[in-house]
Parts: sequence; C-alpha cells; structure tokens
Amino acid sequence: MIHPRPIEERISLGLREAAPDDVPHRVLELAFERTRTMPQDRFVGRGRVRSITRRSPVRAALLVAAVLAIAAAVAVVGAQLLQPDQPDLRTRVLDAGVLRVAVRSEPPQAVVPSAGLTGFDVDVARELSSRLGVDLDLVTVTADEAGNGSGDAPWDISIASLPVAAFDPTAIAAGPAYYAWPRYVLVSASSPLGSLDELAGQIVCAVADDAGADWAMTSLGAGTVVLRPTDDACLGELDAGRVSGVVTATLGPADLVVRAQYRSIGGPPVEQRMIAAHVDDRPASMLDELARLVRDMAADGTLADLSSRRFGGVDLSTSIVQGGG
Amino acid sequence: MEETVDRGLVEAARHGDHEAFEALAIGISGRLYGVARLILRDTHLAEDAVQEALVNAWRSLPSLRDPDRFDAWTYRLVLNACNDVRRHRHRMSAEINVVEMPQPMVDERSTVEDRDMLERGLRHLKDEHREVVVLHYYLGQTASDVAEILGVPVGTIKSRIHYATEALRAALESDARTRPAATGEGHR
Repeated sequence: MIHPRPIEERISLGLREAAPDDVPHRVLELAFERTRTMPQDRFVGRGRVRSITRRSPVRAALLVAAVLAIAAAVAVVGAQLLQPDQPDLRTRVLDAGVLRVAVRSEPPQAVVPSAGLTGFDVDVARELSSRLGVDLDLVTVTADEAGNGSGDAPWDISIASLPVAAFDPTAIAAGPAYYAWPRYVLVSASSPLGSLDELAGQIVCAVADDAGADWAMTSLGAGTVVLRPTDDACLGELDAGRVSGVVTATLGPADLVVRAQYRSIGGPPVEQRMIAAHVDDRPASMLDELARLVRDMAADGTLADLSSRRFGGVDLSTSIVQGGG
Repeated sequence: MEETVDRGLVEAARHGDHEAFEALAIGISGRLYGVARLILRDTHLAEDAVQEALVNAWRSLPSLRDPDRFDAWTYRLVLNACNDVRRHRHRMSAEINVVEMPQPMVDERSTVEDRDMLERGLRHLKDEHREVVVLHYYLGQTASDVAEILGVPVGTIKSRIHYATEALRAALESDARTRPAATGEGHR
C-alpha cells in the first residue's frame, strides 16, 4: 500500500472531494427573502446589542427625538424607580426583555477581534438569556468591577468566572455555581516528586493575586512561594530549575495536553465559579431562577456540551455544587 | 481555499446595503455549505445551517469591526448554526439522512478511497475535533486562525488538530489493511 501523498494532503483533498461547493439556490433565496425586511443589530457602547432598522435621516431624527423624550421621562420618574417598592430584579429583566450580563475579557474567555467577546461565560450567558426568553446585552467589566459592583457599567448579573471569595458581600450577592475550575500543581515530567506532601519545604511558584497563591502559602506547606505574573512565567522558573513546582492559575486541562514536559501531582480543591448580582437590586428571585436554569442545563447536558467545547473536551460542570432555587 | 473579500462590499453591507450583502453571501455560501455538510453530514440540516448563518450574518454585520475578517467571522457563524441545528436535532430525535457523498469527477482511486474513509473517520470524531479538521484541512485555516474563529487557545487547537489527524490517519490505514487486494489493484 503506497500513498505518496502526506496524510495532511490526503485529508485536505478528501474533504474537498466530499464537500463540493454547490449550495442549492433555494437556500440563498430563502435567506435573502428573510433578510430583506429584517433589521440589523447594532453594537452600542460596551458590546450591547440593539436592533435597528435601516437608517434614514427622518428615521434618525425620530430616533433622536424618541431618545430625548425617554431620557426626560426617565429623569422625571427616576426617583420613583428607586423607591423600595420597585420591582425585583427578575421582574425588571423580564419586563425589559433584556438581560444585561457582565463578563470579563480575560481567560478563560477569549477576545476575537472580528467577533467580539467569546468563550464559556458568554456561551452560558446566551443560553440563560435564551431560556429566560429575553435578549442579551454583554457588558465588559474587570474582575474588581464584577467583584465589588463598582464602575459605571450597568448590568443585571455577572457571569465572570469568579468565586464567591471575590465578591464583596455588602455589594454583590452570589448565585449558583456554573462550573468548577481546577488548578494544578505541576512538576517537571522527569521530577522524582510524586505527591503534594513531597513539596513540603520546597520552593514553588504561583501566580500573583490568584487564589492558587493563597492556597500555596497557607495549605501546601511549601518552604517558599515565589510569585510571578503568569503561569508561563512560573513555568519558566520551573524550566530553569529555580522552583520545584508550579501552582497553575489559568492553565486548563486542555493546555496541559500540549505541555507534556510537565506532570500534575494534584492541586487545590476546585474553585466554584458563580453567577452574581448587585445586592441592592433585590436579586433573590432572579438568582433562584438562574439556579433552576443552571440545574436544568446540567441535567440536559447543555453545560457539559458548552464546557467541552471551550475547555478542550473536558466537562468542568461535573463538580459544581448546586444550590438555591 | 481562502478568497479575498471585497472590503467595500462588507462596509456597504454593514451599513444596510442588502444587495452588497447578497453579493457577499453568494461568494461565501459555497464554503459555508461545505463546512455544514462535513460537520452535520446531512444535506437538509446543512442547508438549514447555512440559511441561519446567513440570516445571522445580516443581522450582526454592524458588529463586525474588521471587514478583512469577514470570511472567518462567517465560519464562526456557520459553526454556531451547526451546533444549534445539532442541539435541535438531539432534542427532537429527528431521523437523520446520512449524506450520500457525490461520485468524484475524476478517476483517481486513492483520492476516492480517502474520501470515503475520511467521511467514515469524520463520523467517529468528537464534534470539536471535526470542527478543527474542517476549518484546518477543508478551509485551509492556520491553527491560529482556527483558535480565533473558535475562541479557544491556540495550544488547544494544535492539540485537537494533532489528535484528529492521528484519528483520521488510523482510519485511512485501517482501511488500507482491511482491503489490501482491492486497494493494491487500484494503484497504478
């Protein structure tokens, strides 16, 4: 059996043979029929999406007038909206038809220049808004803003890959966990170290400002913990032989697959990452409903699917501690 | 098989020019259909996915900040549409019509055999591996491009490409072992 072509070329040629580019004309016609009268969405400010129709000067003028009128109305009734008898968060979101979700543009999310923010948190936000039957606004925030509710970005809930310890309890109420993040203690593949106990008294590296560093300093029993800004910087210390182990922060299970020069010997307990909302938004009914939806998503396999797609085939929803609702 | 997209058309379509959008859609739809057929392995579902991807493209075009990334952006949209179709298919437990792959236009036995084996090999890949195979080998996207399209770290993509390539290699070599006579006769 002789195949002169490299495997990559055979795959490429075979796929092109298998999928000729002959899209039926009716597919295009149906798509065009639907889109001819369909308004386009427009991104506004921090990634929020609004539907607009095609612009014309008259329409734009009417739009501006409407916005001014609405702004005036909001100014007049604003105080009333802040009264104690205002509807709770769930009611307000359902009435508005929009769920505003704060997300972070940091790992494990990824920013795609052409498509905006993408990743597991965004996927979960889309699924939850869909199940609530409302549109989705994505608002980009920092970890601090999501943790203490500061910043000028208005949002209803955060899905920002943060644990409960990151939330200021006077400002932010934690809701259901939607995935559990593993951290690893890595040693060189050739290292004789085989368990966490054997790192007692040794020098380990952890990522500054990460919970893994706290764990390394308080629970691991390492002799010295050196802090570096990233996982890669820590792995550089390991490669140079200056530390015996590394506590990972953002490296996921899929990342380890392509780092065969390292071996995991355990790690801290997985970190429950939670959906959250502002305390003063009276979020209880909303967080209860989200807890129910997250349980549904876990039960019907949606969370597992989303996790597997974003985390290299690994389901990080299996260890979540479900509660609420 | 990447083609250069007309920036002017993209800009016009972003601002609501439907004729410009139609021109773009006609140019890209063949590749989107190829992707959808390879991913879903069903003609009718693939047609649905392409239609949904085009509708979503029209709606979301104003959010496309870099017109040069139009092609990659539509690949992301068609993959999303495939996932939606697939989820819907699972929920509805619909009957699936496996695509009868068209006969080749040229009499080149090894390519034909590869095509058939690849079709079977693809069927056994996990969804995320099938996606990277289609993006990388069918559309010719680099690992970095695939990572950007899928929003997944490039290391993960390289790992998936490696795994999927080995799985397809195994499928091809397995077939070669099981059909030695026919295969041998087929090579000149």
